Amino acid sequence: SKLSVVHCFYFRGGAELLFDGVKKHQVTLPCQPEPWDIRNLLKWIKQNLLKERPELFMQGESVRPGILVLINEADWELMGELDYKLQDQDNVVFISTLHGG
Amino acid sequence: DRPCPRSHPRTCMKCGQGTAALVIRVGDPFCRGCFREYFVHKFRAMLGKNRVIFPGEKVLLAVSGGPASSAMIRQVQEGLSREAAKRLRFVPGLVYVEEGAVRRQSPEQREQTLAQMETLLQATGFPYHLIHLEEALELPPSILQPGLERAGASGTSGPSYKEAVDSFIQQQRQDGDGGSSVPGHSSQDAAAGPSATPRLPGAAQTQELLRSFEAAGTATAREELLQMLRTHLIVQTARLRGYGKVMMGESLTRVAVKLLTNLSLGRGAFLAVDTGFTDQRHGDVMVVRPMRDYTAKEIAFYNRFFGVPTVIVPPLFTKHREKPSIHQLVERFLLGLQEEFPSTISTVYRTGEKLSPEPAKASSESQRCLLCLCGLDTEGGEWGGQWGARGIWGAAPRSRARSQATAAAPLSVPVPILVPRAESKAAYIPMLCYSCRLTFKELVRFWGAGGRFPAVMGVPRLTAPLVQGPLDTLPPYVRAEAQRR
Repeated sequence: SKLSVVHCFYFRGGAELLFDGVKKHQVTLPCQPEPWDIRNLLKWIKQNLLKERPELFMQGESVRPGILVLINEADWELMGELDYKLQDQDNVVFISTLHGG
Repeated sequence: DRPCPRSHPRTCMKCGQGTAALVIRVGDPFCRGCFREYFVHKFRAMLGKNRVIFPGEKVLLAVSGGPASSAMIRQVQEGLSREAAKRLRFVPGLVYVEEGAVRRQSPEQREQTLAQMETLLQATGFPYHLIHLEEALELPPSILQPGLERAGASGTSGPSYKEAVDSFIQQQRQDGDGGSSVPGHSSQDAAAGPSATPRLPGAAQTQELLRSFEAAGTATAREELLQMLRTHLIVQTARLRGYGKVMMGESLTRVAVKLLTNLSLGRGAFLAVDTGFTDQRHGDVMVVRPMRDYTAKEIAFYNRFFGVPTVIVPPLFTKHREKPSIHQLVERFLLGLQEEFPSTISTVYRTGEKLSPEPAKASSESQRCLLCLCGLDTEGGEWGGQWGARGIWGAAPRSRARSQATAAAPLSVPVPILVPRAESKAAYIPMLCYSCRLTFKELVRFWGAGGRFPAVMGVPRLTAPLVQGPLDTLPPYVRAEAQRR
């Protein structure tokens, strides 16, 4: 089944440039046998949306320290972080608290 | 569903009812409502605990458009609008320093940023001042001298905090406390500048500013230069417009990073003023940091939940393939450590809280650093010895400099063999604290193209500094004040 997930990225310090300056992305994730959790979502973002310098957004399989993740306007720490299973129409927000660069 | 291994209980720990929206500190889930109360309360508690902002006082809020200073504006607005008993009682103004020249923004982008910021500032109703970083080129040398503390400021010779509050409330009752005592509806200060979107500085000024920044040999020195110019501009604005206090929006996270960064920069002696709640080095203008108890995460969530507007700008420019600044490295280090050890940043912060500023020493000018206005910390030690006993200076480290005769201050300033012209780089060194010396050298390429000290058999050796060399990339006010001293 198709998933329609709305991503809104808000970055500080010019990191929108990592995503062509676009703050809000609405995407439909393709069907795949593996479940769409945040872990896989990040992989997908890295492959399909990140235009440059992935290390400014990601570290290992997670987001870089200093980047907050909100799932449906709630702290991802409450939702299982990388293990959270995405549902249709879920809204994910990435907020950078890094001091530029 | 199986509960995910790393999830927290989803009910607010405070009220026990609401659905938790975020996790604060190491594992405290809060609902939106309780979080808002917690956030707003913390601001009042911070000001109440420190008791340095007097009723009716003019306070200048330094705003960057970033999340922390924007949240700070909101807290001031919240505080001023509360019912009479709990209301904040000072008179706020806003200042924004436009730094697009050194953030690689085109003129169009700078105009756009300015327009967005002006909208944001106007919406508050407080008087505001928009200034460009280029205006640092026009600062007077007096900004490098601490002003005389105002009579009665911070309860030194005037009424105590409690007395001041009580008499203020009484006065309000007499005046028939109809409205608020702060300008709730005034727009920008009449003298704040054109009411239309201010135009950008001329290209020549921008170029001159950029020269200073481009001359910096390291990203670290460049960052320090930016902070210095910005602070001086803000303090000067406060001084000119009669503000006795400046509020800076440094968050807990930023303060912890600054603590370790400044330690690495050699500012160990000044950590308390650099990161504490109050910073009184400028004398008549006191800098306070009311956001220093808020983590970057708390601020980001608050802004998101409660619609606090921000204006984001690109970071300070860096040169191609330049090593990162110490500031960036420390941030990366702390945030990275925080992932595995979630008390890291708060521990650094709390340790910093235990530092208290040294009581003010003799305020003789010869004992204050030219650039950061802190008391010189270069007596003896590795640097004192190096400049005193070896190198080009020669002479005994314990002798007094010729120009000073203050009996109260046995500051050992090495007497140089050569008498450098006032305009030579070397003449600056005795006027600078340890870390400002390092920054200064990186700003003016003291050591020439190569680098610092090549070691000979493991012993660092002074290479001949470019004693005579271009100093014109230093801002004019710095050179003027140095010459005067």
